Amino acid sequence: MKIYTDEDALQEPFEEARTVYRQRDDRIKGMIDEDTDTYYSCVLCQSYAPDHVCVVTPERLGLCGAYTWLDCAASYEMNPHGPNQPIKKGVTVDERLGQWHGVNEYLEVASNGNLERFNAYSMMEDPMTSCGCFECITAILPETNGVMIVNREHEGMTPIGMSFSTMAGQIGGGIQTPGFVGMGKLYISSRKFISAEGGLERVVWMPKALKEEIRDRLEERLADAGKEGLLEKIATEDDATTSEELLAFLEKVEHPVLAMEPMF
Amino acid sequence: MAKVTGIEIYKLLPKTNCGDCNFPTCMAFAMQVAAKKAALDQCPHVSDEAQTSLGEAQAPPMRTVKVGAGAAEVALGGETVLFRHEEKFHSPTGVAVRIPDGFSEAQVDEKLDAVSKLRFTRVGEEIGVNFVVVESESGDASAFGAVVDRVAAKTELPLILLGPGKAVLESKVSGLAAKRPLIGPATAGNWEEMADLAAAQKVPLIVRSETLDGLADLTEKIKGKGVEDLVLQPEGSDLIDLLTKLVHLRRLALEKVYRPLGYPTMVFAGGENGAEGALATGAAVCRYAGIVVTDAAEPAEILPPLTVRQNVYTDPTVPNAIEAKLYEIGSPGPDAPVILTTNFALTYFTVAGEVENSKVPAYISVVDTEGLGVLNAYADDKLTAEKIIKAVSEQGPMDKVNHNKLIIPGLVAVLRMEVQEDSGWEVIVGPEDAAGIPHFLKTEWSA
Repeated sequence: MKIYTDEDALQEPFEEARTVYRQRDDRIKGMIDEDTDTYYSCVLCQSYAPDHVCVVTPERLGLCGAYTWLDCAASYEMNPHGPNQPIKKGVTVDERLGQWHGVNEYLEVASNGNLERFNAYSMMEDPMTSCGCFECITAILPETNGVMIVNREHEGMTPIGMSFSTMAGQIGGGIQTPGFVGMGKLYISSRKFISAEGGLERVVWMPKALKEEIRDRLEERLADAGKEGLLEKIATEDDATTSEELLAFLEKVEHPVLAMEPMF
Repeated sequence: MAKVTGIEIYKLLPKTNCGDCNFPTCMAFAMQVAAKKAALDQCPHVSDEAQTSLGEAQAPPMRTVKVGAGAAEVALGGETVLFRHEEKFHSPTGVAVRIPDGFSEAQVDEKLDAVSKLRFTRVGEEIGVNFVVVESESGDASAFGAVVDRVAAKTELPLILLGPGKAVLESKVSGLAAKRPLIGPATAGNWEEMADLAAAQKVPLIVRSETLDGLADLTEKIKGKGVEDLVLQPEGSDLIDLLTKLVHLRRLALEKVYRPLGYPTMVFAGGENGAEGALATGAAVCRYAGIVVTDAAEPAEILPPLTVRQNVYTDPTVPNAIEAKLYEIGSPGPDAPVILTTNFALTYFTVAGEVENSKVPAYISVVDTEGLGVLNAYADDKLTAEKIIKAVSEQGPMDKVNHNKLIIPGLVAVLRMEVQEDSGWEVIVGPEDAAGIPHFLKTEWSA
């Protein structure tokens, strides 16, 4: 271990680390959930959220952002009795919601009987629980028929009327809170990002810093989906911090969410 | 209990984001209501239908039943979890001492005298017996009445009046109705008249049956007569059977939200001798009993279950704190040591106990660490050199002694130099564990 105290000297290893992480993130990019019959669990956080289970799929990494499907597979290989266990998907219960019989069965045991069902691709119906380490929270904004995403680093108020930390206190601890879901940043640009609710088109607000951080991946994703231009219709704190301001903004930019079917 | 989600609550709100509830949006308010940190009626615009439908969904799975009146009132039930770590337990088991109506006046007085002495201070909290039970064994109303009168005149504790039926109970229950005694038992044979009596006098009622089905059947019928403050008394063939029934009752009430059994419980616990009785009482405390009735009134029989109760029912969400001030152990003179510790109750009482053991009179200066022990407080910046100096200066032990030595806990030896330099006192590092205090004070301490 080497500790840097000079900020300039830090730049080089920092870039090196970022490159390694980018390579890691890219390695899984080509893989889709349908490619595998096995997901992985992550129960590392059960030390303090005893009923929480992360289900890690190729297109949805752990909500802390630290564990992709490949990381979990490697972890399992290194320690077959460790916190990452393979989950056989089994029979598909609902393809749109992302529900599999094998996952449900595993979940009931691993969550100490707390959870019976889990939908990988929905934030409204039996969504994934959160331990508390989520990089971001995606939350419903019923007034807009859409959702907002706020990252941990954002300290200000959000259009839902709660700061990140207030929301974090209410949705952590391994309980299912429909309308609210914790996630890793990489999942936002995933093809499976709340796909049951309509995916990226539902997003109406996120902090500017987050938008810039994931801009490249988001643009790529949107280009693939033929939805260029959507990114600029997503408001940031510069455009709105209350739901009134946000609605006015969405109407001005003609955000597609206004014409989508109701979320509930 | 079926948890109502924020989204479901949001649907019932006006969705205007008016802010009159003091939350910026309806969604933020709904999340607070779901987390039970706000009440739905904080929204002045919520409809009556919404109030009703949410009220039913959020009604606690176990009713809270209050026995006694005024300062003597005891709340039973209202429990929300099977395991304490899930939230907390709300109503500590009430310990009740039984007096049969066959007792002579002298026997009654002796028992009540014993009960009044059964008050102990433990970890800064006063613990004791909560109820006196008068039970009619003779079936004779006047014998029962005489004992009830004597008991009611001599104790402040809430009463539990048990008799075979309305004929024996009625006159005493109506006379004492303002004190809200718990009465019973209502059984398959007498439930109608008992329900009438409880309804007329507005007092809580015990429902007794050998089976859970029998209890559920009776509570539904009695509720039909307008009596809702009920206490379930399951009977068992032996202690194991009784404890099993208590667990089943709790699970059915909370996990299945089975309303006919959503009430607190009462059991009789006894044994061949005092030790067995104390064990049975303690076991019932550990298995969700709302009230345990015992014949025992000796300290050795009552203190163990009371201790168990305090341990089981301590609220894990609130650190057990004591007042941060200067405590004197023994009669400390000018050469007495000044010892510093934190205001977590277990920390303080352990330190105080060991100082007593040392037989060295001492001052203990207690820093307010919001109820955290030494290491936790240090890690959380609640025990710093600055706070130590402030607390000791304000509490003033240094003015009472002829030296300037302050003994700090060994676990925060790292603070020694900072305290010493900023205060001018000579700071001595004490033992890491309270168990080392007697040895330390006897061999290493000198003013």
